[in-house]
Amino acid sequence: MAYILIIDDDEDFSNAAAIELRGVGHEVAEELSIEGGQDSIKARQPDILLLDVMFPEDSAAGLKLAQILHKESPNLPIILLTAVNQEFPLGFSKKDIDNVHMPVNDFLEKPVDLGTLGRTVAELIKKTQ
Amino acid sequence: MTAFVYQLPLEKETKLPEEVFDSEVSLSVGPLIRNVTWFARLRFAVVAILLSFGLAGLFGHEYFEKLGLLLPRWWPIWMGVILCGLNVGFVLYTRRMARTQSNRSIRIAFSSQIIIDLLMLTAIVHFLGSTNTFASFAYLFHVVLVSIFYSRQNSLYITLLVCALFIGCVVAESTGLLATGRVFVPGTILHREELSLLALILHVASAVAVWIAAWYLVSRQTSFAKQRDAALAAINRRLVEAGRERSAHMLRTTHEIKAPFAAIHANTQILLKGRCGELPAEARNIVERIEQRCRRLSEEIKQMLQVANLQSRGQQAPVPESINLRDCLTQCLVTAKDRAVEHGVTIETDLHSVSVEAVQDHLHMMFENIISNGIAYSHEGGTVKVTCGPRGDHGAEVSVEDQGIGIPQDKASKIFQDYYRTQEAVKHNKSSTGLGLAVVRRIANKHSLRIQVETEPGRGTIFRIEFPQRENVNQLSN
Repeated sequence: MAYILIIDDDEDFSNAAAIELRGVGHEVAEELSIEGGQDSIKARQPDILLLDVMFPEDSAAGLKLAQILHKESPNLPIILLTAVNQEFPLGFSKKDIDNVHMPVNDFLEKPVDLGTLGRTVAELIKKTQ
Repeated sequence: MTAFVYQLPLEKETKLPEEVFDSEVSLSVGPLIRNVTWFARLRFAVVAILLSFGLAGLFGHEYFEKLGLLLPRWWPIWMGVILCGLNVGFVLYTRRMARTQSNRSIRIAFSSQIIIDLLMLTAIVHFLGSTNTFASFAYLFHVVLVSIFYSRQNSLYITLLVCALFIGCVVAESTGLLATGRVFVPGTILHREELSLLALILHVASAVAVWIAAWYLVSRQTSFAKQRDAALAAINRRLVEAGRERSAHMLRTTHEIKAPFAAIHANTQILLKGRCGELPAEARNIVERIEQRCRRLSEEIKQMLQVANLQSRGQQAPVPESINLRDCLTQCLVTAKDRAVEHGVTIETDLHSVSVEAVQDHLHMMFENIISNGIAYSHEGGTVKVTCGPRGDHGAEVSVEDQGIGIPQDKASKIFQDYYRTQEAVKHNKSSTGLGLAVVRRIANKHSLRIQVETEPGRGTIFRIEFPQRENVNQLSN
C-alpha cells in the first residue's frame, strides 16, 4: 500500500477521496493549499500525488506545481484532478499530458467516481513499483 | 492601524479609432517590401524603355528624323544605366533591411527611391521638352502612387515637390538657364512653337491643378479606406480579446459550478460504500436519490457547456486534423466501460482503421453521447455494438447499435432537439438530460456529417454516422 498526498482546496472532496483511499488500505494526507502541499512534500515524499488544478488565487497553480515537481522530483507520480470542462478551448484533457505543460501521469475529470479513482491509483502504483 | 482604502476603478471602454491623420497607419515590413520590389520591377521596365529610346536614337537617328522625331542619342542611355544601377542598389539594400525587419530603414529607402525617380523624371521631361510635349503628365503616375502608399500629409509634400520641380524646370528654360529640349522636328505637325508668357503660365497652372486634384481625390479615398481597415482591425482585435476573456470566464465558471457537485458526489459514494458504517435501508435510498440527481445535474451542466461551446462564434474555430476513427472510438469506449458495467451491458466492437478530417474533441463528444445513450437505453444483459470502417472510396462510417427500448416512429425526428426526451426514455433512464443528441446534431452540422437513425420500439436503435470524402472537408461550417 502507498502513502498518498492530496492537494486540493476543496476540503469536502479531498476528505471524501481520503476516506475512500484509506478504506482500501492506503495512508493518506491532505493539504488545502499549494504552499502547504510543497512543505508536506519536502517533509515526506509521497508515493503518489493527487493534485487539483485551480486554486483560489491562481487558476493554474496545480499545473505550475506539477511543472516544478517534474524538475525537482521527476519520479513522483502525479494524478491531476479538475472540474474544468475539457471541451473548452482553454480547457485540457488526458491528451494534453506532456513533459512540459502538463507533466503528470494521469488526468481525472471531476466529479470522479471513487472506484475509478481507486483503480487509477492502484494501476499507477503497479506501474511505478 | 491605518485602514487601507481601495477605490474601484471604472473600466474604460476601448473606443474605435476616430478619423485620425493616417500618418499613424503605416504599412508593416512585409507589404512595404512587396511595394519596393514592385516599384523596382516597374523601374527596370522604364530602364528598358530609356535604353531602347537611346539605341534607336543612336542607330536610327536619320530614319526617325524623316518621321519628324529628333531622337536623342546619349542621354537616354546614360539615364538608363544610372537608373538601373540605382535600382539594383535599392533592391539589395531593401533585402538587407528586410532581414533586420527595420521598418524605418525600408521606408527611408522607399522615399529616397521616389525622390530620385522624380529628379530623373524632371530631367527626362526637360530633355523631351517640358512645355512643347505632354511628357509632364508622367508625373501623375508618381502623384497617384504616393497618394496611395503615403499619408495624406506626406503625399501632399511629394506632390508639392513635383510641382516645384516642374515649375523650376520651366522657369530655367524660360530664363535661358537651360536650353529647351525638343523631340519633334520643327515645322512638323507635332512641333509646338515657343509659348507666349500667358500660354506658358496656363500650361504650367493646368498641369499643377491636375496634379493637386489627383492628389486630393486619391489621397482622400485612400484615407477613408485606411481608416476603415484600421477600424476593422481594431474590431477584430476586440472580438478576439472578448472571445479569449469569455473562454477564460467560462472556464472559471465551469469549475465553480462543477466543483461542488464533485464534492457532493464523492461524499454520497462514501456513504453508499459503507465507509461510515452501514446505512439503514431508508437512508440508503435517500442517499442513492441524492447521488443520482447529483450525477444527472453534473451531466446536464457538462452538456450545456458543450452546447454553449459549439454555438460560440467569438473565438477562432478549431482546425480539423486527420483523426483515426478506430483510435478515437477506442478511447471513448474506455470511458464508457464503467458505465456499461454499471448497467449490465456488454460492449462489442468491430473497428477498422480509417482516417477522417475532423476536430478530435468534437468527435469524442459526439461518440461519447451516442454510445452513452446506447448503454443507457439498453436492457440489463443487452449488448451495444460499435463498428467503424471505410465507406465507398474515401468516406467512413461509424455505427452504434443497441438492443434497447427503441424510439417510436413519430418521435424519431424530434430526438435531436434541445431537451427533448420521449416518455419511454424518461421512464427507462431517469438521469437523461435531453441534451446529448442536441450536442450530436451541432457537431454533425459543423462537420457536414450525415446521421441516420434506424429504430424499432422494443427492438433497439442503430445510429449510423457517415463521414464525407476527405477532400470535401476543409473547414468547419458555422
